[in-house]
Amino acid sequence: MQNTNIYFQQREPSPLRQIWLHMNANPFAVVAFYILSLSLLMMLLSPLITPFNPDAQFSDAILQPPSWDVSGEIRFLFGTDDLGRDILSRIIAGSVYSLGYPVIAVFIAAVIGVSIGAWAGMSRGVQSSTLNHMLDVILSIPSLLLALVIIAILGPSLINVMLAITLVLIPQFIHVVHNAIYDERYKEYVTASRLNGVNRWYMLTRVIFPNITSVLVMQTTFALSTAILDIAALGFLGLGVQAPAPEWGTMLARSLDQVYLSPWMMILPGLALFLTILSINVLGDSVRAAIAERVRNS
Amino acid sequence: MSKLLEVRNISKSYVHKDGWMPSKRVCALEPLSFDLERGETLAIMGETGSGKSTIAKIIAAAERPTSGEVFLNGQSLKAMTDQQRCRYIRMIFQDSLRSLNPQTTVGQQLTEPLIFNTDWPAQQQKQHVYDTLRKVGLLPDHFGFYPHMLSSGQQQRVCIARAIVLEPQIVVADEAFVALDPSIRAQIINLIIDLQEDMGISFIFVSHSAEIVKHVSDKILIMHRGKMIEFGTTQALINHPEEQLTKSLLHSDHNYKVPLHSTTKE
Amino acid sequence: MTILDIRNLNIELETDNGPVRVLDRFNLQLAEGEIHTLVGESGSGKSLLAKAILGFINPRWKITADRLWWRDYDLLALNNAQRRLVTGRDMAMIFQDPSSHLDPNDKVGPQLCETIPSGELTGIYLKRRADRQTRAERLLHRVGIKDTKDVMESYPHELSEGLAQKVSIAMAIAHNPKLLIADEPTTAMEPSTRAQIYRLLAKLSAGQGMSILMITQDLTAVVPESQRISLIYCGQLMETGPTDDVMQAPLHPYTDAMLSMSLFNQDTPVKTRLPTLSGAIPTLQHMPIGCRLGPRCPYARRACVKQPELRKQQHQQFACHYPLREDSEHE
Repeated sequence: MQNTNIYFQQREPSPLRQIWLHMNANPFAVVAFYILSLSLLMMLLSPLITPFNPDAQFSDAILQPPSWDVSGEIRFLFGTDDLGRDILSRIIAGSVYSLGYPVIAVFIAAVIGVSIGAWAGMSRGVQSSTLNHMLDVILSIPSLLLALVIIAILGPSLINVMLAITLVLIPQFIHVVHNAIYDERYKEYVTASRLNGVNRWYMLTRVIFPNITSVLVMQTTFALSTAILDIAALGFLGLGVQAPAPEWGTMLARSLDQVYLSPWMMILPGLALFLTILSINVLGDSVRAAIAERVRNS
Repeated sequence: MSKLLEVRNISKSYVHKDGWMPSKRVCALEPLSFDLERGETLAIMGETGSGKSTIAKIIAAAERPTSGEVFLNGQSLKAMTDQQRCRYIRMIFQDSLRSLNPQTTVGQQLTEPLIFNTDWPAQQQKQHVYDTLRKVGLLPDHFGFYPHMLSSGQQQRVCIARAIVLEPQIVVADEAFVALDPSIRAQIINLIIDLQEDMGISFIFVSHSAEIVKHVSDKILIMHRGKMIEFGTTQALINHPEEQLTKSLLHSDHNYKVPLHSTTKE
Repeated sequence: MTILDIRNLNIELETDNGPVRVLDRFNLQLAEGEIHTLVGESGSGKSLLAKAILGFINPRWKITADRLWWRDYDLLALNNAQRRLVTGRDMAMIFQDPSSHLDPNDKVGPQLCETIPSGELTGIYLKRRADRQTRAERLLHRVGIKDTKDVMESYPHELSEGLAQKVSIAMAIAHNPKLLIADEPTTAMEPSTRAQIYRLLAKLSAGQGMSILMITQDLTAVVPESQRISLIYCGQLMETGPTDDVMQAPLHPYTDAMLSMSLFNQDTPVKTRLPTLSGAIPTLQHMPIGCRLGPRCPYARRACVKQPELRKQQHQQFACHYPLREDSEHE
């Protein structure tokens, strides 16, 4: 901070901070942000905070309703399932599969996609379009279908699902980054930097990249919600994570048999899935709105 | 001794592709040559689309000429890389806000040319940026500012600071005064005149304001549809213009003869 | 006859740190058939004034005035529908960047036809359509476009700046407005086109008794036909009066500074420092109290922290405690 700030001065916040302030003004975004942070925290601490082992079966408490029900028990906060497993523990442990694995898939896709996209964006002509459209053929198949094809060949497993989802997300990242860089690189400030004699690496990382972070954040949230939904969907179909692993989609599928008898078995994991995806989407949307707002103001 | 800047037969043409038709060549700039001495100011004037900005951009190497060469102190610029060139020739853009990176601070942007063109330690670079900021009438405090926090006059000052931070010999300004308010424009013109006196920089600037051109330039180059139609010293062109266009461009619409006011102090 | 009478107009904007007065006790009188030039640098509130007159009002602005009268209507007392009726009938505006105010997806001809008021056309559909067409052509003739067919068949981006501005003037005068507000109509243009547009506007004003409020940021753009001129700085009226008087013998330091900065004087030695006002134009959040020119004014003294009243000296009015010349009888 400058030491000469004696007079009252209204300081305009830096661009990234401005986006943050815009988002803070939107209560939905704040709530979504907290929900997402909470679920990420829950995921990281899941081995420590689960009250019981998610696979432990309590034969004395089969199909126990949640604790707020008259016949519920405080020991099992969210009740138990038909094998007497604690649903709260399963939901917490399941976040590793339903949130953790998508995060990893998106991260891998982002690293690969952003590098190829940046390379494509910084080069010209045939090289640029080759790189840009290299993986476009994958886009012709919907992600779920591609996952099904891969699973049909390699058999159902989590690794195959991850592979399918990562593959589908990569071209999206390539396109977004390529287009963002392409938009930026003909702006005057980039020309000015080029005339400063900077090298290409500096140009990419210090000059252009700060200006496309917001686009990247948006694409990442979008990719994350797709990935979560896909993993859950495949789990539900029995093609992804295999039971007894406490994946939320798998839990939903299992609960179908007892849906009239014990609705909490379906509602609670469904709610977890719903809240996570909703908060990610709201967050992504408000980031986009905040960026639009900032562009409009300046 | 060779001239500071010699422009020899530079031209620029664009290739237009129109579907399956054979591509057409559109000539934006026909071959032209001129010289510039040390410490001189050259003004390029002309109508919209006459190629005046193209000349400025070619000299500053923001664009490549289709043919011809530019010599600096007798050396061809073609052989130089951007890095070598920018120690001698720098450019100020028309829109100051757009030519500044919105996501990095003023200080970082001014340090950028120093990182790549000097082997000074970080402390010395910083000190030099502070000195440059003072030179253009800003404060060292502005080091940490982002461009959008500054007023348009201050942004233009930052652009000038970036242009002179490497102590170049030539600064090219492409319509740098158009978007400024009158009082700020006068300040910037004063700044440029001062810098020229202190550092002996040669200026090349594109403008369509006859008043400014008459006030600051030593030589004028008149462009018309990609051709150079007149080139000469300011005095000669004002007193004996050969072309009608020169006369009309340099004729400022003085509807009012105003007595000299000596009231405004600096 | 005064047709537009503005007395002590204030516009306050709601910002994050409280209300800001963007226009502070602004006065303007515009007579019929008069060209009035309003000169102000950026941030002076000149465009806001145009919007306030025309009624493009954002509900977050607070507008108060002792008088805001257009002919016999008190504009502030009218409701929205009435006001639209009055402004739609009597006023028009042209903008700085004409090609961005034309629909890029439609040819110029249909856009121009659209602006011709349908109330003035009679007969069956086909006749009305033909009439529209001829009237549109006549409009283009009036703004000095000879090649009407060609222009009407082009898209806005195909027109040069000058032509596009002429088309937008043609659209503005389609319903014979009494007042035309020209918001920096020539800022980005080159001198020759500039001169053409000004000549056209002056001709229109003289020919039809249309009043023009010409808004510019530079004294070099003041045309000889302009009868009166007002200088505005940061929302405060600095000086107003007949153009010749103000330009020849300014009373307000701001006018004087603007004149000397505009390089009117041919005798200024080449390559010398220009006289200028020091400092920068304050931002909305940091308006000085009192006379807003104060911090930049070379004559500012203690009294300047109080906003000066508008004073009259012969034909000129100015707001300054220390004018450049005092009338001896006056004091």
